[in-house]
Amino acid sequence: MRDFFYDFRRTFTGKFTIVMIVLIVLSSVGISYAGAVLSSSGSSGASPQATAYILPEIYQAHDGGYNFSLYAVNGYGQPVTGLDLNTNVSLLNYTINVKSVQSSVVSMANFTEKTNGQGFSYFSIGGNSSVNLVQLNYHAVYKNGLGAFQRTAELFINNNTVTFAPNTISASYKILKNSTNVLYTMKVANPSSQYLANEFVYYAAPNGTPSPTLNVYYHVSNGTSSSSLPPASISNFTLYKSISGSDHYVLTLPLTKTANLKQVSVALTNSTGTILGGNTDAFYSSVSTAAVLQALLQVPYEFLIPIIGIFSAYFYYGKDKTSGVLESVITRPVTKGRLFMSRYVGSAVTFLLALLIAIFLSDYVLLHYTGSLMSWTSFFGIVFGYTIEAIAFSGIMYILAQFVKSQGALLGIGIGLFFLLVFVWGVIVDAILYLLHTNVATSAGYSLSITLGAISPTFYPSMITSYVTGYYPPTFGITSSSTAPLFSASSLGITLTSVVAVGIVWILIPSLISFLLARSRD
Amino acid sequence: MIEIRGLTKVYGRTQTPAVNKLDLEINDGEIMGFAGLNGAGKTTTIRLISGIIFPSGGNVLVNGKDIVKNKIDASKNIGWVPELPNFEPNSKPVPLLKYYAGFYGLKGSEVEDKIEKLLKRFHIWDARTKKLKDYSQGMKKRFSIAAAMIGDPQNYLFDETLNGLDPEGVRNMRDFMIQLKKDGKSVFLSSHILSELENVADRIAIIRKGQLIKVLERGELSTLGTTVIRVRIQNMDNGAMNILEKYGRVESYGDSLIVRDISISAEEAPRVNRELNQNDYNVPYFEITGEDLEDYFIGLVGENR
Repeated sequence: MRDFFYDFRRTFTGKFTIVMIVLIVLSSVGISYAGAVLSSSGSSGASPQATAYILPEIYQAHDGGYNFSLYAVNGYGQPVTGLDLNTNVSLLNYTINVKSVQSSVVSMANFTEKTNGQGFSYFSIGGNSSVNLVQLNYHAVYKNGLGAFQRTAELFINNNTVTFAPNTISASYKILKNSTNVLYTMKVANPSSQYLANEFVYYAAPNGTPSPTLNVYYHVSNGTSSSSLPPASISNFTLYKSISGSDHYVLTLPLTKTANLKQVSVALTNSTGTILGGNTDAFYSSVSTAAVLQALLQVPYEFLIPIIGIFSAYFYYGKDKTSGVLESVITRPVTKGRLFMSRYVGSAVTFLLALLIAIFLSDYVLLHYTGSLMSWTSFFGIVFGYTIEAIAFSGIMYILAQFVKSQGALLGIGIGLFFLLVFVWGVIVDAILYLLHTNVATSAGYSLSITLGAISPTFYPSMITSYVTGYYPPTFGITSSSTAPLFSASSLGITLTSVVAVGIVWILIPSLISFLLARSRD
Repeated sequence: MIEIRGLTKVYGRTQTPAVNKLDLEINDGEIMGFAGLNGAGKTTTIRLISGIIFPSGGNVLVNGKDIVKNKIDASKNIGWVPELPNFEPNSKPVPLLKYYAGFYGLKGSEVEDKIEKLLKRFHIWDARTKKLKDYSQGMKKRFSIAAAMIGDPQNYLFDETLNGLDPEGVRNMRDFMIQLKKDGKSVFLSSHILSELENVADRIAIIRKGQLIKVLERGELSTLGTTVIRVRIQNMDNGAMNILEKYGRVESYGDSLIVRDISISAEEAPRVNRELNQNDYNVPYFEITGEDLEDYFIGLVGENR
């Protein structure tokens, strides 16, 4: 096998390999960057995950001063570290009567802080007995300047009553003076599902005191109105579980995907049943990194991956085979079969490596915009989907190279194959479905459509994505308002078994056929 | 040493075999010429020996290793020089030779020294920075010899290598092959230039329509210039054969006959024709001639055969 590994190493470190990796990586990262910049500068603004949620706490100390604690979480409810926070604190004397509203600044201070490894930023300011309003303006700059936002939070002090009114995200805010605590609850994205959100709970108390036991209740309804306020009653709610021991929680409610787009109310109570916090939201996760990446790469990759597959087979093997150049290698101590396999495996590993790097870097590029990384399932789903598609296209070309005798003909057939399987195949499938009077809005129709579509390797990334997301059409849910029929992937036969089986078929069958031909044909 | 046993190659079911049950041995320290007309099967034979194509029957043993069943070991001792060298045109000679050398397990300074020696030996060292597509045909041929030698094989296959070379190139090649022979290598040289085969070959195998029809020993080559009688007899029978055999060794090629090693002088030779006529044999062609290799070759494999 020394000959195999030797030629494999040469293939893998060859010029074309480097060109291919650079091409895939640069195009993917470039597309991701450009797409993210364009989407975040659009009218709809950055995705929810692009904004770091700031959860402020203001505590009046015993000496009359004020301690500020800002906790930053991303769209998944995960702490955001290294976030630049520019804050301005004004201590005001505020009066209101029938005729006018008057306020005078008692003191003011600016702070520039960065959130620590746990997502917190702390600062303090001295107090004054004439102060009855604390105004906190905070401005966060998220890493590279994108996703910037400005918020104002105000703390009214009226004797012993304190109210807190941040004009910010749809979370429930309260603040209690001194050693008391507050519960923030809000919907956050679920990195494992584009259809169901998670619930984030933050128990704000001095010095990060863990929460006492909290009972989490939820209720699914068909309503449409969201609210950051806790539900008034939990009479028809279901107890999910009790939580304690931490100051922040990300809860995945036991909801099925049928709860997608429905209103889910969450309430937290203490042990005596008093409602302490909660909110109501439509429980879909609007945007995830996987969704953004999939949406950005889908169209370019539809062309790029088959082209890469076809041309790699041509440059690694077909060109030399058809021109006769390979003969000068075959006379060396190497078998035809191993020479073929070294080229085939070399190109397959190159695809995998290039896509691993490309998707990994794209993921990190998008991290700046979405605030989170993809789940490993989504990451490997995308990588393997496109890798197998590229391998399949190259495999078909390797087979053709065994029969075609000229470089021009091989390249011409390869390009024809590209047009057939990328552009025309969908039309052929539609025509077949039309001729069979198949209703594609039904599960059976979709199943047939998928079966016919799977004949082209271009379908495989969609298939694997469908399996990962659990739904067909196979997107990671870039929009939540799609009116297209949504089918459970398993109901259409897209299961782990079928995904693995089709992947193995696309990897093994073309390679096996071309290997057998390569080792036995002149 | 190369041993060829019953080697057969059939390209299509309906086609005549390109090579048909060929048996041949090329010994160490021997130059074996390989002659035949175009399409006789010379190149096919060489491609079979080198492992580029697979035989339909028979086998080739290279230093005792089967070129199909034990390709890796067999190929270590094969150096193939094609008629028309075909290398990756954008390659440069040094990296390409390094790549080839890797298959033989050669690496590091050992291979670099070897490449330098080979390129200098074949006068392409100064052109080592050029791409192979910019090489002349002669340079490509010299490069292909260097490429064949990179693994220091025991056996060399030269397919029409002398074609296209200028007289100096031919002489250099001849000297090179003789040097290989002196080094104990076996050389299998196919060529249309019979005089060159005659100059260097220890034996010459003649192939016609895929079949080996004659292997001439070096000793026989030296007697080809002697007088022979070429005769064609329309009503040939044993009686005519008996008459001819009285005067020498008779070789029959269809209705044409060659009488070699004749026992009478060239001046007396016409009496053979007279005797045939006296015995009522119709002799449309009778020639007393001195034979060279080319005559002999054409006589063996000519179109009329």
